[in-house]
Order: sequence, then structure tokens, then C-alpha cells
Amino acid sequence: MNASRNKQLYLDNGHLNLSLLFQEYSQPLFYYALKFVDQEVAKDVVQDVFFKLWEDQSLNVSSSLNGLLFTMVRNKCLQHLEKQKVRSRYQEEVVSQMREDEILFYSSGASSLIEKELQMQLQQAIEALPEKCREVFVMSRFQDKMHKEIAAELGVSVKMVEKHISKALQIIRVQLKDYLPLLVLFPSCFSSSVK
Amino acid sequence: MGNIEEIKSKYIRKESRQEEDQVLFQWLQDHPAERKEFYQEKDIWDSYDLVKDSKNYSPEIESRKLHKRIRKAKQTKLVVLPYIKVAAVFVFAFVSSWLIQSQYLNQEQLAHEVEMREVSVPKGQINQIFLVDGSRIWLNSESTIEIPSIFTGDERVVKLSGEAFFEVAKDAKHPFKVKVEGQTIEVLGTSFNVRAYPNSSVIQTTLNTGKITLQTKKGKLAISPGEQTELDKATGDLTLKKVNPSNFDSWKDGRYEFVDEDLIEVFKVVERWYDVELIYSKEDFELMNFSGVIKRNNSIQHFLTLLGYSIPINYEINMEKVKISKVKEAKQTKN
Repeated sequence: MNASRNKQLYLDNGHLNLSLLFQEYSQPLFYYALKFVDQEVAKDVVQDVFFKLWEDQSLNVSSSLNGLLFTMVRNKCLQHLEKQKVRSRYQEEVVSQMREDEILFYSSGASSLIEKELQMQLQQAIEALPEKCREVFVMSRFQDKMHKEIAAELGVSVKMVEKHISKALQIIRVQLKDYLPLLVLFPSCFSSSVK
Repeated sequence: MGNIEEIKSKYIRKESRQEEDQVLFQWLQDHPAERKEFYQEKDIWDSYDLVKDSKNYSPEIESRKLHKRIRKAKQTKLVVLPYIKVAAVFVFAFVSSWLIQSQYLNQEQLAHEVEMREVSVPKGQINQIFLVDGSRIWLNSESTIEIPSIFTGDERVVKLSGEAFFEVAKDAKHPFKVKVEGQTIEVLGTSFNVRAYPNSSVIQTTLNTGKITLQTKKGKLAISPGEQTELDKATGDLTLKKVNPSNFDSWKDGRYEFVDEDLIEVFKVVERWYDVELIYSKEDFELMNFSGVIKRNNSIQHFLTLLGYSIPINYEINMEKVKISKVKEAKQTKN
């Protein structure tokens, strides 16, 4: 299956099949960029990355397309943050610094869940949470409820809700430890398309 | 100002204030060992934006933007470098063929507004899907569901073939509809189970909580919790009975509970769950009922042993094929 997909990613003249690439990768790349920059910027970043691919059509990326795309997004985000830092006032600087630090974290080899096809594992990890914890996590993350609302609905304090969320994240992280801290020496290539 | 755990959690949810960001940044500098855990927890949170598509990112719209930009770049190139027009013609031919093709595709997609996403679960597996609106769907083995990439318009419509359990998020303004062969289920916010396999002659709908309305060719029927309808696909007749709903949705927790279920129907479930093919002669097991619990993480042998307690059978397992026959004589043997 991988082999046939690889073929599709290239046109007959050996150039990248940008349309297909865009379809497959633009959404995960957008949400990846969203970790570091705002929504409109994230859209631009994805545009820029694919435009660059178009400019350099003959790019041979057969071994690690996935890794290359996510790295390109990171670099674009970094460029944006640096530009912004020059312009912004001192108080806003700390957010840029935090985001830069996060990009650095990923540049040094950590990979995000977004790069991998891990929906099932994530869902299983949620299922495995203690009941109260799961309830609060799902309400907060999936139903976009304010913590005040959740607290009122469940008859607990807002502090308790915060605690449950922190605990949920911790438990999920431990559950997914096999996937999370991977050092990407050989970035997984086409197998990790995210739907 | 609150403790650092609270600030971390706020930052992850993008609800922190600048002073808090400052504290957190300093703390991360002072505790480099905690950095990894913190970013991993943030990553778990962030990744769900993709699962939910919370920003309604549209690859179609973005792809059109990209094509526009490429077209513009193309034109500029032609003006700036007129002397390589000949070469450019070749490039242009290639690019435009790609553009035309994808434009054509885009127009088609536009006409449909939203792309339908199909999720299929093979035999031997179950899957869980979270929808953008907060609803959850458990999809049983050998089932397929069609969901739009985003819900637009007045209704939230999905199409199902096979079995699924729905936990629908309340939204009175946008009724949720499940279409299966021969019937449509209209929902406001509730949980229910639908079994609509193509190879079965009936469609079973079981309501756990809330209220749903069933639309068939013959009319509309409102169903209350604890009730189950069975639609006969051939005649279109609908029968209603009281059941214990938890018997019918336990599959999502990895168990199947049967209470006086037709044995042939049980066989079909077993085939889907364990991804096997059962070979048997219908006359052997016709008009028999089966009660019992089967678990997905048990093996097929477990079921066969269970069945053997009530009916003397012979069985033979050969890869994915399982031959079952009733022992005609009183003596009981097993291979």
C-alpha cells in the first residue's frame, strides 16, 4: 500500500503531486503550526510551505517527506515569531519566547502526536481514564465547556475541575509514553498520514 | 497568582495572562527537567484540535488560494523573462494541466459544499469516533459510517451501514439524523444503538436515553427509553418491544450479551467479531436460541465451548474457517 501511495505522490515527470500532497497534509500541518502561531498566520505558513514546494518541484524527498514538511512548518513559524519579536513591545515578548522554546523542543527531535496517526491510541487512553477524570476531560476538551460550567454541572469546585484536567493529561501522557518522546532519527515517511 | 500547576494548565488552554506566562517561562528556565513533560501535556491538548477539526480548516478553500498564488507567480515569471518563453510554454503546459485538473475537482467539491468522510471498521475490530459537535459514535465490526467533514445547514446527517452506538450532543436547532437503509432516525440529544447490517433482514434500533423519532416509508414513530424497534426490510413492518438497552450496546465495551437471540444471528455476530467464517448447515441450528455473553478478547474457542454446553457440537478450526456441526447421536466428541 505504501508503495502505491509513494508513486501517486509523484507525477509521471518525477515532480511532486502537489494537489495530493496538499489534500493529505495541509490539515495536520495547519494544526501543527497552530501550536506556535495564531490561526491566520498558521494558514499562511501552510500556504508558504506548499508554495516553496512548487517553486522547487524537482525536490527529492522520497525518504522523509513527512519529516521535511513538519520541519518546514516549524522553520516558517520561527521566522514569523522572530519578525514579531522585533515589532512587539516588551510584555508581549514572553509569549513569543515561550513559543520559540516549544519549537526548539520539537526541533531537537521530539515529535508531536499530530505527526502520527494516533487518534485510536488517544481515544483508548481517554477511555482508560478514571471515570470522573474522563468525564471532566471530555466535557472540557470536546464540548468546549467553561470550567465554571463543568464545576456547576458536576457540583464540584473549579479547582477540582482543574485538578482533574491536569491529572487526565498526566495519565494520558504516561499511557502514550511509547509514542510521545520518540527521537526521530529516521522520520517515518508516508505511513503516518493523518486523516 | 496561583501555583505553577494551575498556570501550566491555564497556558495549555490558552487562558493565561501575561504575568502568568512570565512566571511560567521563568519556571521552565529554572526547571529544565520538567520541560519535556510540560510540552508533551500541551501536545496532547493541542492534538485534539486536529481530531475535532476545531477551527474548521478547509483544505479545499486553502488549496484554491494556493493555486491563485501559483498562477500569479507564473504570470510574473513570463513577463520578467520573455526570452525563455519557449521553455516557459512547456512549464506552463504542465502547471496548467495540473491547475485545470484540480480546479475542476474543486468546483465539484464546491458543488457539494462539504466533503463526506467515510469511516469503515473491518471485521474483528471496533472503533470510536468523536464528532465536531461533541457527539460520540462507537462503530462495531464490519460497519461503515459517512460523516460530513463539517456540519453545515440545519441538520446533522450521517449515514450508517452496520451497527453503531450513538451518544448525540444536544443541539435543538440542529437535529441529528441517522440514515440507514429503509429508515431515518431523528434525534435531538440522546443515546441509542442501531443495528443495520446489509446481510440481516431486520434493522434494530434501541433507545437508552432521550427521545428519537423514526421515519420509515410507512410513517413516523416516536420511541421512548427502554424501547426497541425492529424494521422488517422486506415488508417495511415495524414492531416495538421493551428491552434492557444495556444488553444491546455492551459490544462497545467489548462484550456481547445475548438473551434468547436467534442462533443464526448470533453466528453472524461471531463471524464479524472474531473475523472468521463459520461453515454450518442451516438446518442444524434453525429455530434455536442462544443466551450468554461473549467477549471480544476471548477466543473463538471460548464461544464454541460455551455453545457446546447447550448443544452437542463438533467443530474444526482451520485458519479463519470454522466448521460447526451438530452431533446427531447422543455421544459427544470434540476435536
